[in-house]
Amino acid sequence: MLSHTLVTLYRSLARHRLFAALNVLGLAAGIAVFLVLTLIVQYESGFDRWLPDASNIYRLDSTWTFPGNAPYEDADSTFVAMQPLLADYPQIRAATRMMPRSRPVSVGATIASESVAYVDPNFLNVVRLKLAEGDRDQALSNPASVAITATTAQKYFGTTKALGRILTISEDGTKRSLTVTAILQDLPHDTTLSPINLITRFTPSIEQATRAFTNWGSASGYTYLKFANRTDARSVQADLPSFVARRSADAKGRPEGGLSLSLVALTDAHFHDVAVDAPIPGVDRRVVFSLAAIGLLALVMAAINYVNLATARSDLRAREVALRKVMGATRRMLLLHFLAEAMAMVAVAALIGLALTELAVPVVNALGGWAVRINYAQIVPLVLILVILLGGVAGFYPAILLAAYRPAVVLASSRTPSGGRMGTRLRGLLVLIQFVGAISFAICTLVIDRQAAFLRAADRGFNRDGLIIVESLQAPELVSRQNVILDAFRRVPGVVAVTQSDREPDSEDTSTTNVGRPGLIGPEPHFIHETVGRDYFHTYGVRLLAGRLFDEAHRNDDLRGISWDDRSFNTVINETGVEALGFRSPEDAVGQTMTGDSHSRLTIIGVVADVRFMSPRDPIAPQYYMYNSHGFADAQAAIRSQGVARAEMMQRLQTAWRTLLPDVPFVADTADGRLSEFYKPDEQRARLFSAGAILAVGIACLGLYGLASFSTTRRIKEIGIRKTLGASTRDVLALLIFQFVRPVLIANLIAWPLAWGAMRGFLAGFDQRIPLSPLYFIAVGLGALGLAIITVLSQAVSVARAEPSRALRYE
Amino acid sequence: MIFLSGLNRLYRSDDVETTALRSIDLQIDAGEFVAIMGPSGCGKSTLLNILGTIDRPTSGQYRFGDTDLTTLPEAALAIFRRNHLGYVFQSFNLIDDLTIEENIELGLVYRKIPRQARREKVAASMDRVGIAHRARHYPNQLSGGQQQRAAIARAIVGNPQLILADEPTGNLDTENGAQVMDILAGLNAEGATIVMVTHSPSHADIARRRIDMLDGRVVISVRNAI
Repeated sequence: MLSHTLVTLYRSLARHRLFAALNVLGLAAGIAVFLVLTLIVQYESGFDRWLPDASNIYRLDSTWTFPGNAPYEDADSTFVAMQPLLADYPQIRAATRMMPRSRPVSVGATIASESVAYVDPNFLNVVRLKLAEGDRDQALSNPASVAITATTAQKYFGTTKALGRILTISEDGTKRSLTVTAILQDLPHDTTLSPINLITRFTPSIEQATRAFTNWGSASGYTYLKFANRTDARSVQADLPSFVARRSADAKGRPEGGLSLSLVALTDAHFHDVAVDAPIPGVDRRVVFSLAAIGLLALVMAAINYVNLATARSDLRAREVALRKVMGATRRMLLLHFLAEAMAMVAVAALIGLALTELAVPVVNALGGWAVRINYAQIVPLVLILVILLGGVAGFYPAILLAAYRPAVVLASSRTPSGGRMGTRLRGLLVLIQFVGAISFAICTLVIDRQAAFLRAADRGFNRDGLIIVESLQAPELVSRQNVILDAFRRVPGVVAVTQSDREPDSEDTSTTNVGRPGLIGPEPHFIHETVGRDYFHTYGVRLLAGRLFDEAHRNDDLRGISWDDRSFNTVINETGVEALGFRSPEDAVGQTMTGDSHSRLTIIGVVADVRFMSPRDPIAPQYYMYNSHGFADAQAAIRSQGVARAEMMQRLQTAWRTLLPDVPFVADTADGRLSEFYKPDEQRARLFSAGAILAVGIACLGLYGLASFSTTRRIKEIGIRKTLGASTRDVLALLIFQFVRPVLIANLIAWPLAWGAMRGFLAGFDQRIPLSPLYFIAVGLGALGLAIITVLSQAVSVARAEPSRALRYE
Repeated sequence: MIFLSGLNRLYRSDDVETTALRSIDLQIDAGEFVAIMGPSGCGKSTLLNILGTIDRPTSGQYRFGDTDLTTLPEAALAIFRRNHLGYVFQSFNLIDDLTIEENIELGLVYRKIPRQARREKVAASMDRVGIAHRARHYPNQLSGGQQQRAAIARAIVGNPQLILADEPTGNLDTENGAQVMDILAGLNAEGATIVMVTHSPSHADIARRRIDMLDGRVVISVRNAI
């Protein structure tokens, strides 16, 4: 019986190739979209789950709340907290800390900057990274031991069998030899841990030099706590406010101001980190949900297509069904027959969909920055379930419709029962749902795409063209040589300006302080404090709005020339700072004084335009600039060049660097390169949504085609009568086209408010954003309408042009 | 074999009621060859459809042997059809996507007869109507006459107790029509019971009994001289 069903299906498809292609490809596309998005959702939801016991490991986050500023959460936390936490809460099974740093590493002539994780000795027993070689318990037992990843071993030793080999690490100018005691498997992509190439223990000198070991207000790395279960973690979490109040109090009993601590499960961290300053940017859970929803939508649309196309073909099959009934087939047999057909069809489509998924995964990974892989052990059962479910759901209505044909009626005339008015309405409704989905999706895509393009081109308050940031300058041992190095850069042909500053595009560290002024009502606003070197505003191309820029001719401009006891400095503030301090205009602010760090008196000599070094989602903070003509801590260099290709300029700068500092690796990137992380998620989303929207509209058009072919064949006689009575081909064409595009028109009315609501929420997440113009809605609406007309035109034309006599003979 | 008593069939649409059959009382014995004649709309095909259980009477009784078919549920009627009836249509009604052989086999598939037995019965049936050489062809590759012979082969392959033929020669030319009637007459001679609707008086004369219908009633029932 089953073979009979399959043979019939095969012959029927082979005879109606266009129908078969539309149906199978529509289903395959829907299944492929669903599978790809399922893989992405699975990937995004699986961060750190590869770590043993990951759900019981929690990261200690710190949140800073200052008057006038939104609370700011950081994945970093003070290292002081760990011992008191262990002492106060027996629920904590183990605790460990990690401080990531970039360090020059060398073996023989190979020297490069590497991501080094300084950790407590028990780190690998709490965060159980996978070892390729070595003993977990012994790996960090010695202060001079180091665990390195397989790739790092290959890079420095040419082999992953590197146990016992020696490498040299440079720490603030001091070199230390470390022995390789373990080889780690490279960290997978789906982790919230900061990048790790080498792991070694904290040293006493590092602990002394790092304020986070002694100061509750400083954070330099991550603290991980391990619990037996979620309940224990919750109980500690609930008590953390009193812990901070109790344990961070100074001699006078005052706790650390503005600090609160919280616990984030590693398995939740990826979604949590969307609004957190974390080593790996998090992903908004809503984005992942919307991807899952799009996947399901694609499946639903594909199922709707099947229903529409299958019922559209019912004309062709009515006689066959009647015959089968006359031959003795029961209704149940026919139901099973058509359900089996649907499942066979879905199975073929699923195979093609799986092949499409294989082809799409590398493309999607490149488009979206994922590292998604197909795991056949998981995906094959999913596909089988899909075939049964989708085949069952999509095949059910056509099977019911077809199996219900009454043979006497069908055989008496060529007219086929259509499922009645209900059936017609249902098919219209299905196409309407498809277009509501496709149109709202397309509008969202257009808005997301425009917003991403806008962000890319948006004014960030500084000129990004030809700007290179040299990170290596921030090595503490180079502070005294900063100006020599910058002078060497200035001599490089093509370089037009050079400066240094302790903040730069995608800056790792931001120091803030509260700033006041006489007569200011309300709490003192928190200002970002940035120290800048010579030519800073010129190099970055920041616009001066009022007053003047720093000038060494003025003694109080330069931190270097002033004794700290004077506590009187000149400063430049940004436009947002003017507003925060309640000045009426930039001009109004110039010459005024404000109080800064340690009761220093700051005279505002100039106001510059706001500069956006961080995410376009973050609001611009008030900021003040201080000038230091000599070297200062955490300074990175900014170099503006002209007329030289980026790679060539990078090479020249590296050569200049190597001449002066052969032992320090040169690490640099363009300003655009550093900022790209901020654009990437939106651009990736825009690209993914574009691909999805094209597919959704395509699938919806397939559905419309099915509906059109169904109703045109049913209306041939009516059209013959209309033409006999005098209707022109144009009249008939207009009638048919209006009938077919009506669901698209109605779909617009439903889709527009849906898309408007979704996009209003999306754009609200950006500090810089495009207006939600009605043009996006109109453009997509017209586009959908145009596509719908093109889809139905050929069928409508062929029916409208038919000779009336032929049309009347049809029945 | 067939007993119809007080059989009525009404069709109701929104506000129109049409009576297709009125108080039909009819008995057809095993081995009879009955031709039903009458103008269009007189109820011939409705009567044939009810005899074939693809339509139900509104009232009255239809007994087949000892079985009252009017009370049987849909599924039981399907089983009845596959076991006892053979159908021949004016427009052949072969399934386009199946070969002639597969078309003929279809009823046996529903009867769950094993493949080998099916093949043997199909071969015998095709031989009987002279289309064995067309077994692997599709219906659209055959002439009208050949298609109708295939349809007859399909109707007789399961050795039905009753063959129903709805204007079996209506779509055929004279020569092919005559061939089909020869086959039906032959089958009847071998013992098959046949009820045939026809417009052709000459073909009706081949039957042993002729029933004339008008406005849903049986007006004349006469036995032909053989």
